[in-house]
Amino acid sequence: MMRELMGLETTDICAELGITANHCGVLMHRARLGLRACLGERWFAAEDHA
Amino acid sequence: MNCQQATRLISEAQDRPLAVGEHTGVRLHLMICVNCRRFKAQMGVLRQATGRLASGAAPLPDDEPTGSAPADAKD
Repeated sequence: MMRELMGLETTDICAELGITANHCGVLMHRARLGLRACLGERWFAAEDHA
Repeated sequence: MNCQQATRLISEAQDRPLAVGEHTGVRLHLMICVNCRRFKAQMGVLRQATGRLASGAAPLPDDEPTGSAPADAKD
C-alpha cells in the first residue's frame, strides 16, 4: 500500500519501517505474488464461473 | 537464471533500476520463458490497476452497511 497507493519510494518505506532494502524487496515481491494469486482465484476465475 | 530469480527481479524492477547484469539476465530469461513473460505482463496490470485505484479513477464498490459484523471478521 505504501508503495502502490501512497506512491512512496522504497528508500522512504525502508526508513519509515526500519528495514533493509533487501527486506523491503522481499515484502514487495511476496505482496505482489499474493495479490496476483488472489485476483487470479477470486476475480478472474470467478468470472469464468459467472 | 531460474524463474524464481527472474520473477523476483521483475518485481524489483518495479521499485528500482536493475543493474546491468540483472537486467541482461532477466531479458535473456524472458526470451525463453513464456511463464515469466506472462508474470511480467501481470505485474504491469497490477501496477496500472493500483494506480487507477490510487488516483480515484476506479472507485471501490460500496462497502456493506456495518450492522452486525460477521462472526469471523478479523481486524
